[in-house]
Amino acid sequence: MQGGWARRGAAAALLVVTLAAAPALADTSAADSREAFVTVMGVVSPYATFGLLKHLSGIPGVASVTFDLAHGIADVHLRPGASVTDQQFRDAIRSASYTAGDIRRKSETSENLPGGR
Amino acid sequence: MIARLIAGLLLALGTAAFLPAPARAQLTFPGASPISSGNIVLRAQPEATEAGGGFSSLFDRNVLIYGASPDLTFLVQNNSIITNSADVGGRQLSATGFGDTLFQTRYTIFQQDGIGSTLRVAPIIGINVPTGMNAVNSALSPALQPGTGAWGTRDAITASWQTLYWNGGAEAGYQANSDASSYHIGNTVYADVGFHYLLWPSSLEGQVGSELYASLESNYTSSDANASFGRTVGGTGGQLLLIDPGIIWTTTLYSVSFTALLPAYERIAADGGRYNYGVALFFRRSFFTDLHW
Repeated sequence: MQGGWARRGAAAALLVVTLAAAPALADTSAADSREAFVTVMGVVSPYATFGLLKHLSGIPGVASVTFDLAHGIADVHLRPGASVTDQQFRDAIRSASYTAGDIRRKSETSENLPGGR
Repeated sequence: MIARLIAGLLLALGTAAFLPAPARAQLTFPGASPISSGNIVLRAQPEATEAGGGFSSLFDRNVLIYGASPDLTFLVQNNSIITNSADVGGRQLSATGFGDTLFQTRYTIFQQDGIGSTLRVAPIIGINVPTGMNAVNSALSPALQPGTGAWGTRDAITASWQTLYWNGGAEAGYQANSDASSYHIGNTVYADVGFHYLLWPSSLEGQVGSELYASLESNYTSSDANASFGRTVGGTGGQLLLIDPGIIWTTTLYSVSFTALLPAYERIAADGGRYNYGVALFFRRSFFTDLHW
């Protein structure tokens, strides 16, 4: 009997933990980060960045965007407390008629990213 | 006097097939280049051409480009103010007014993007709406009026391969014209190729604000003879191949270019109707709207 209550308790605790963790798991891409480096494929000239910058800067929570043409990387700065998902980035890039690649985040606590960024 | 007038008219008819619609260099058309949804591009292109026999054409080609979705682009082209001039019987006559409007739809059917490169293919369908003035000066042939008065269709396929340091593009198409007042301007097959090479800056590290390109394009046109009341108009139709060297300055918002239109091969039916040269300027500015798919 006691074992049954113990199992139920453990299951309930697991459920609570899982539910609590679910939003974080579903939105890990929007985790604590103030800056994102988004690889965009297909951009070949400053003129071609016009629509891309408009679409990326139009995402709610985005403060500013610059684009590194040689490496095809958009440097996206977010407003304090803002959260932007990877899918929002991908949708914006698709709307701009380009193809999204890797998305890397620079968190507030971690200043270093692979590639020296 | 009458003989000179008739001779002049025949000469006018001879080159008429080429004057109202000179080269459509890639600079005058986006090819298959990316247009973001919501991106609006306004382009003005004043252009002047001169041919043998005192023929000249001066007009402003205005184009509105609208990215309706990532793949779907609408283009509206209007030759706003046209002056076609010809030496007729020793007198220089001209016809000035608004030209026709060409509505085109482009849909990207193939897209292969890489970092700093893109390869795209897009068919284009268009319809020419006779919004222009086609009876400005009755002393000049119908083909020398600013507007054709004729409905038409245009079908084309275009491809662009663009990288950070060079761009290549090609377009091939067919334009069919209807009769207008029993006059039919010959249908046209055309093919354009273009190559642009980055001159400056040499390094593209960081955020690049502007670029300078050298361009070399080529335009081939083969036109059927014109017909009046169902009968072929002598001295019309033919082939023309142009080579167009140019230079382009482009920024995030603007582009400016200058292009020379030089004949490389001519097989024009009319004597003395040789295409001598043309020049085209090009201004382009981007706008953005949230109204898009």
